[in-house]
Amino acid sequence: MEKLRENIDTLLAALVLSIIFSLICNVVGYDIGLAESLPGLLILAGMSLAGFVLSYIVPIKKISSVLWISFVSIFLASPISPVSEQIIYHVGNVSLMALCTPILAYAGVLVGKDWAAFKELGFKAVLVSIVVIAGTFLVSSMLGDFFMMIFGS
Amino acid sequence: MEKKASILKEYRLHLTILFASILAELIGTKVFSISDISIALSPLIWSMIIVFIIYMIKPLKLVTEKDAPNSNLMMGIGLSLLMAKLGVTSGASLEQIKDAGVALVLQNFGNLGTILLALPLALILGMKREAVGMSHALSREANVGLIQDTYGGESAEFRGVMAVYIVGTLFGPIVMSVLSSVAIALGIVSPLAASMGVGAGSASMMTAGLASLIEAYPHLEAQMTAFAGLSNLISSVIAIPLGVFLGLPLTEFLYDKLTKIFRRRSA
Repeated sequence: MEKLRENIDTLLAALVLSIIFSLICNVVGYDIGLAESLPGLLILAGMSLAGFVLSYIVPIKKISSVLWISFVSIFLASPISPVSEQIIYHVGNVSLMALCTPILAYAGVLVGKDWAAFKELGFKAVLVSIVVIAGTFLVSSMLGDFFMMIFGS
Repeated sequence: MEKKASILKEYRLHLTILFASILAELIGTKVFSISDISIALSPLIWSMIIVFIIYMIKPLKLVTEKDAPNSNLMMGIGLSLLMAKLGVTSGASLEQIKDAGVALVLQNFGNLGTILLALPLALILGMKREAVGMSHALSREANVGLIQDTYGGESAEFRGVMAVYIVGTLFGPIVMSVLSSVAIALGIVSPLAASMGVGAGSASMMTAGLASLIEAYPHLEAQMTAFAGLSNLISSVIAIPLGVFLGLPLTEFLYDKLTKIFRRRSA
């Protein structure tokens, strides 16, 4: 709780900034009006805030804010939630890409700072990435065959 | 209170980000084709490139090394909004997943398969903690968020996850389309299972992989499209819990064991 009080100002300031960035991206890039974009973004911000607060007050270290946010947002949009219809409608007006654009812009600063380390990864990173994709595809497909055989679908 | 002041005080950083984001959205998605291979550059890649270039032109001094902690913080908040968006999309489709059948749900645990293949390779290539971020899962947005949250944006693990995310975004569709055609041509997997497998990546990877499958088995188009779409959905719903409870612990465990073996060999 102490820690939450200490960080809440920064958290709120950063959330407001993030909403502004994504709002502008949503309007500029995806032709969705300002008034239509804002409710969805405010809902997302509320969910994030709830996730952060929960991660501070529930003393389970394994469940980080990211996991809490997933739980809260999945729950509120699921059929058991009384407000799912409104949430799905408004959040649907926020493009996934409009959320990604500013995030990756900030990532550009970090990539710039660690450029030497990134360059060192170089072609090795390309190689490992291809194996990551291949590994996931192959094992998932094989499991698909395996489970289809077992469950006979 | 000082902290609050410091994040808003960095207006140079935030204005640069705003400028880059707007410019990136105005450029939009551009597809570059070299013979048969096409690479799509979306606004998210543009915004990163623009800020990166601004960073690299040091005399500009618009963004510098000092902005890294604040960028990390802002990225964490941005990723939390993204997580909420992904969560809402998932929650809205729970009904569909319930009807998808057990095989489709369980098949998505194949996402863990990458650890067994990619982690040893990354370590053989001489990587250190980057390997953890790279190989813990097929890195999509949710995984970038998970690693940023767990290790921070200035960590080696984060460099790893970003590297796979960027390479995957640029070349993933090509890789997936080649892989899926080869796998069914060699008879390693059945076409229906392959259509589940192509769903494990991003939407663009899925589309590319599915296109090759449909080309080879046009009569299965409807079923394969449904399987790929559902698998894509399920994989994004379980990405975070799978990563937190199985993927990362397994990767950390194997990392410890494998680095010990490698050290003993080289000693």
